[in-house]
Amino acid sequence: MNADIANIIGNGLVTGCIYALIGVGFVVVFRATGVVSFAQGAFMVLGALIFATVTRNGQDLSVGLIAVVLVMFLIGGLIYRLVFARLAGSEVFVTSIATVGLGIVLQVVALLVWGPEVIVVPAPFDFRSQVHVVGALSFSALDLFVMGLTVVVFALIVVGLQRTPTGLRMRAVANNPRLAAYGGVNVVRTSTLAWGIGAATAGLAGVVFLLGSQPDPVSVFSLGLAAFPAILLGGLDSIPGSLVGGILIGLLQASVGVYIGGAWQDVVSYCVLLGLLLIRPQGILGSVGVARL
Amino acid sequence: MLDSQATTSRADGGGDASEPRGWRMVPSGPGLGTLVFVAIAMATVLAGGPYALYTGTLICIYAIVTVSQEWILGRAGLVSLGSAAIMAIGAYTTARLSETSWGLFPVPLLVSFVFGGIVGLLIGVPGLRFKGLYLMLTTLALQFIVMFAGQKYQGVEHEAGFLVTPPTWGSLPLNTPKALFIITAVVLGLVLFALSGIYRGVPGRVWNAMRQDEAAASVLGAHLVRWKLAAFIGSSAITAVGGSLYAYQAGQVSYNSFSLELSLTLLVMVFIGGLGTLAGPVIGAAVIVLLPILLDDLADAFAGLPDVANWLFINQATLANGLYGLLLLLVLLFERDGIFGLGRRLGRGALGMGRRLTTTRGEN
Repeated sequence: MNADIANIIGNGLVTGCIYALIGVGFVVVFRATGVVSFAQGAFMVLGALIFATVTRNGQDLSVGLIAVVLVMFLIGGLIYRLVFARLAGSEVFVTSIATVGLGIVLQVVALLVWGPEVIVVPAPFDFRSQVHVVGALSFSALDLFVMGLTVVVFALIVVGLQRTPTGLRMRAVANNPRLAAYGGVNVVRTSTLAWGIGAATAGLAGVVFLLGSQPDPVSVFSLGLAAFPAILLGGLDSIPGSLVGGILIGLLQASVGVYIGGAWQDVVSYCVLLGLLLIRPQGILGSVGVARL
Repeated sequence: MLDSQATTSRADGGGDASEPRGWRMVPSGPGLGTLVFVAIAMATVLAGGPYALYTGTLICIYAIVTVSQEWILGRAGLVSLGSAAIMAIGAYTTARLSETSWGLFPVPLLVSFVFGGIVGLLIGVPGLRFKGLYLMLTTLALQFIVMFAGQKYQGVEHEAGFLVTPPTWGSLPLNTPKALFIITAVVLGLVLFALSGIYRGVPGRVWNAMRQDEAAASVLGAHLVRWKLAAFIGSSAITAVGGSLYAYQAGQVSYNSFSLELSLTLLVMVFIGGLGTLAGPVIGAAVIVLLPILLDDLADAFAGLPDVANWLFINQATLANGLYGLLLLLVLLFERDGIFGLGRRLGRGALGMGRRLTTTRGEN
């Protein structure tokens, strides 16, 4: 295996995992409430900043991650109750524009509270140390951490949805909110939970991006939009799809970065998005009904 | 239970029962009050200094774009996140034509109009096969692709952007602040005139029927995709004209003036002003252009408290941004008809007989 391919696999998997974490939150929110969220980027910014604040105060990685998940969960749930529960039943364009407005407000709050500077965190562990895998392929400790975190998050969400009573209720609401309500499911509570999960996974994506590249808040926000091609590729309403789409777009972008140039990465994935809309708008694993939404 | 029922209507994907109040079937021409208001506004700007003229021109340019965006948002129920990209196409066209023999004003405006329409067609065909969500994603892709293509097109040689040769008629320069303001105001007037005619006629009724119930409109013989495409092509053509005028005012065209933020700001303008009317988006454009200036004044007002004034000054752009977002959320949550709808309602409440003064629309 030559160095280029090793490079593509390494970078592609890590970027793909970030897209997958953004995407899975998007999908959970979309399935439960039908909202196309453009606010995932803003949740990432908040997650990254909360993590930075906690770890700068001397707490270690696990405390930082738990704080991000809890706080983002509360923020997501609160936002659903304050804004999107009131907009339920509006046209898709109204709710999605509301997420645009929400994204702007959250980003501005973050900029006013924390400032626009590059977010710096102390290294929580020696994440540059390389772990050799096979041939030229080796992962840094950070890469392994990112992939492990993604696997854990997906496992929790999938098991939670398939094996717990709450997961059953969430699937019922996703399938048919009215019928679920007649069956005694508290739709508002379930949707609040979905928004909480959506915000929490986006927050984790923000943390992961922060650890890898020390970005400023605005570029974290932009990454939330860059995940759309991946989300659509996987299918807007498919949880495994968000992982598959994320990894595929991650690998594609990494190959573009190696063979064509880093500047072309985003534009190529948006071209994929355009092509996909022509050929297979429901994505790889999405349901056909969603395409007609 | 109520919530669950409301949530279901999106799953059905069909016509929506939550029809905002105040959307009228058929608009009539502008009332006397509107004409007086426009005359006063024009006179104020023309009597003002270069800064007032600059601001007035900017409002007119944005209003041209927001009115055309309202065409697809308020009539066809579609959202475009790529209005800035289409403006960029008009602006690049203008910059490149202005230095050639095709640069005679208003030829670049007309060419931009055509190019905008063509891009609308190219983007609309994949984007409109499905409901609104997919047009959003297509236009988001367009936004990034145009930004990237613009950057590549400018290359290293024109890194700061293409210069626009000032428009002239013979020896008469058209790029003085006053001339530019008059030109943009006239173009805005023409756009409003044309659109009010279109909305009053058969197309307006078809879009209105589509927005209320797509299935019913389609049963009555409206070809949904064709009508949506028509609205999108028309609105893209006008948006490109807005971009062309933007190029003339700025004097220089660079890709980074047409970012996604601009697209979002334009959307915010439309929503804040109010959907379903022609006056709404114009008011929205004016409010959003004037808001940073008001914040500026606010910073001056706190001159006695240097800390507060300084904080306001440093965070001015961020604060203005946050206010747009907040206004957008408030409008969506509490007053779906925007500032214009709110004003109209307040006006009606305050003086029932003064309705003709506060509305551009008659009842039918």
